[in-house]
Amino acid sequence: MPLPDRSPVLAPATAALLALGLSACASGVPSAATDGADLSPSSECTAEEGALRVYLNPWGPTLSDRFTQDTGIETEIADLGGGEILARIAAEANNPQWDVVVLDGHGSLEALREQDRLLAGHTLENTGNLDSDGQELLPEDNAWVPVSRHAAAVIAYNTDRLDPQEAPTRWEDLADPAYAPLGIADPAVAAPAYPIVSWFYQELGDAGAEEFFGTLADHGLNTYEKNGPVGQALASGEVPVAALQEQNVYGLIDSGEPVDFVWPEEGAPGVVRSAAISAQTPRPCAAQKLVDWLLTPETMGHLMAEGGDDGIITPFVSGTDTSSLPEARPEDGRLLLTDASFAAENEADIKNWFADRMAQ
Amino acid sequence: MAALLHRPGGASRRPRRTAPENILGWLVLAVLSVLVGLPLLLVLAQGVAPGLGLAPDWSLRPELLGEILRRPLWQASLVNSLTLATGAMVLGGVLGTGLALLRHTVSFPGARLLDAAAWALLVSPSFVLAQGWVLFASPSGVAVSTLGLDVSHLVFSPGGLIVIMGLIKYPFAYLAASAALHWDDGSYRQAAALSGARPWTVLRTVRVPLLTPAVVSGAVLVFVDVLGDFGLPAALSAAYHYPTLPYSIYASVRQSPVSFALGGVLSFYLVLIIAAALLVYFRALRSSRYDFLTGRARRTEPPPARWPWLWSGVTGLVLLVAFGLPLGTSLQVSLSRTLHGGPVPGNLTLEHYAEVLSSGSRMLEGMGHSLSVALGAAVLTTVLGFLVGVVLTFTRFRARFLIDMAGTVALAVPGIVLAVGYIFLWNQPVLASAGLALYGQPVLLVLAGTAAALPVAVRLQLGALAQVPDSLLSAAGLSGARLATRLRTVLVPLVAPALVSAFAAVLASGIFDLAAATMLAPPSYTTLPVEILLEYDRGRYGYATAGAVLSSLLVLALAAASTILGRRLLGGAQPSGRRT
Repeated sequence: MPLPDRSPVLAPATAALLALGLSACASGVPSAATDGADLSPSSECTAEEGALRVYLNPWGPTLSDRFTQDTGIETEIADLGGGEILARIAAEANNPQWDVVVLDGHGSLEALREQDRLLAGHTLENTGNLDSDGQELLPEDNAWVPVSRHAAAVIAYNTDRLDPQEAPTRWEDLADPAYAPLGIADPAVAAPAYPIVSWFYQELGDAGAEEFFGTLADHGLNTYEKNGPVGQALASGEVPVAALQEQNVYGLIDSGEPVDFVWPEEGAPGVVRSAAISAQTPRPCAAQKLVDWLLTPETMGHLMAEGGDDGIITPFVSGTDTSSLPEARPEDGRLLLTDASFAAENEADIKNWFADRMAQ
Repeated sequence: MAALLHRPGGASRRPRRTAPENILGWLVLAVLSVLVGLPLLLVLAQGVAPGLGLAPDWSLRPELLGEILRRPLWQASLVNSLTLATGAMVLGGVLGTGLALLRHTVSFPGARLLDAAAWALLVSPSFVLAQGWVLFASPSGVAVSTLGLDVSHLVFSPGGLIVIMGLIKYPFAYLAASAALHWDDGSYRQAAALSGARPWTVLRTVRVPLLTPAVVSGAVLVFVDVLGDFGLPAALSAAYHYPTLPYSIYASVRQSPVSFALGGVLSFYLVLIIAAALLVYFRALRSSRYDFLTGRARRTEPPPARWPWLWSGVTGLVLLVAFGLPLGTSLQVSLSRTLHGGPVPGNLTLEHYAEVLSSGSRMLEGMGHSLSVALGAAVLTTVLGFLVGVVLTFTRFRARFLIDMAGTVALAVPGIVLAVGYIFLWNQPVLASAGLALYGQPVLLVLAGTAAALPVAVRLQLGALAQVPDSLLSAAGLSGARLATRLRTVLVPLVAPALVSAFAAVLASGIFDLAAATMLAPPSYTTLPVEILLEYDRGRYGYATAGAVLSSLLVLALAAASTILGRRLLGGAQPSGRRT
């Protein structure tokens, strides 16, 4: 039997797909890369056309809105978790869709630097504003720039479960089974937890760190995907003690939860917030302007005052007004930073160890 | 005769290939290749050739596939996934089929609620339901604070998770069995009854064999969907360590250092298991194919039940546990200042809702974005799903098997993996230079949503299409109607309920497409699921659940409205008599 030669039923589907395809054509992505581009300092260059694409973990629109207001440069931000940003950057390896990244965890940026994914060798005009700690961290080629640091974990405890004199005061105290189960953000998943464990690995060596965390796991280690649920578990008494990011601790205390904390004298493992520019950005000038803008005390003061939890940091930028910091935060709290190369080189092994240990 | 012939009995003698069918077939195949095949292949390829298609310096390393023997995490993920999926398949299959039989065997007050609940569960995002369960059962959760019951050890165990997944996913089995029972040829049963068969014998010898394909397909769909489910592990990670394959894949592509190779290896194993399950599924379908929508078929009108209130009670209990408990928990949490504060006056608040509904709220903005994406995906998926169903059911197109595989495999591929494949595919510089740089555009969310929802749309429509005898189409064909006319005037009216259901299901579930939104949303493009999970992960349970409750209400209203509207619109085209 002869069958018809054309089928109008297909029309809607093809039309829809065609429309989708056409709509995509309208979007222009600059094709120029930085090879041979003008890398003159930000005050001497003119910002390229188009919005600057910023992948950022902290600050979000607080940062982008103010930057646009101060410089007139439009931005498009992807306000994501640290892990998601790194996944995006990895997936886009052959065609990066970002110009600037601002991220907690200098180890991850160091890893990107070693893979030549970051713009390097360019001149930044405001790195002179960095204090001596910042200068020490700054790579020679300016591939990433440290902006601030904060405690990835302090020892937080539930005051209904423990009196202040019973609370652990040193990190090694956590191995005491009396404090089990210990709450912590999963080092295998949560971006902010890696700076904690990487410091222990650097300090104690592989065997020592694995013995320490193995003991904690044997006694009971409740891991959660992010710090938020760790705080909730601590507030409810589900865990008596937690290694909790400092911002979360102040938030809980502020909202009247039965939580207090100890900033150990030896120090608290810290996380370094850093900014970097894509090696393949078509907008190197605008990107440099953003990084230089970040390194001014005015910008840092604004981000600290208006950034909410993201503003609770110790800035590397000298002269920043830090009066917005919460009273609960100790002024002299010592921060223990993992070496960037060490953090980058050992990230996979350390995280895999945790993932496998918790699966057993 | 070259027309679409009637299949005599179970032996399916298919019509000869003809031009328009082939055009349709190739077109559908091409669209599916782009939507599902290529992205999936690109991800799987990372398992043996890391960097392939991503960087100039890729290498062939098939030994990566053996990594699973060395990593305890991966072995645990594999075992956990299989345990969960098998358990949920049995529990969900039995529950779904049992409820469908009940619903279509006797009538009792509230029977229709079973249909509504199945749909509501199917379109409810599993991560929202799972969040409800976690907030209920966690040591600081609602069960402790409200009921004084610590059920955490009961719920957060492999057995407890199987029960949760069985309760969340049983609708696949329920709807598959219901679709088969929807049109019921009473003459078989009457013949059996006239021959003196007792009701049990009729059930065993007539109804069950007629139902077998639907029951098997429903159970396999539960298995496959649980195996690929990302919602439960995503919500669960806040309370209980139970790695599954999708979660480990997600972690490998999302956690730094990102390893697409490892994600590819795990995806490979996941797809392998799915393929095996589907083989069973297809064999079951082939060996027992019935066209029981014959000339004498009619909609069933079950007789009144002997103990109606007993069955109403059963219905009520199922609804309460499957639906009321997780969503009730979410509702309570959304109205509480703190999770562990319990339902005391001092802990009650509307502040979370006020925050969600305040102007400029990211939740509202995300809702708008997710709604428009889901609408686009629903239209595309329904049309594509129908065409796929037509090719699979009524043509002898050579590559039907590929179409079927592509349409079904997407069900089991975690959305996160498909999304990564989308980045690989659509961020190729060659496409960018051709002006097809879809990556970074909301339209990619529409395409990913279509790919993710297609299996459900196809299965829903296949169930209905399988019951339409070829003779209906061939009769129209003999009268000179063109393929398109036949599809429009014969098929569409007959399967209209399935079409409308597919549209409503995709619309509702698309709004909560977490994985695609996480990986593919353009910068500055807030979406609802990402916003809910972000706040949940931050421990802001009240705000997260307020957003989830409001969106669920919106989704239910939309699904109901589109179902009613669709039935009314399509009802006008419903044939007044049967065209045999």
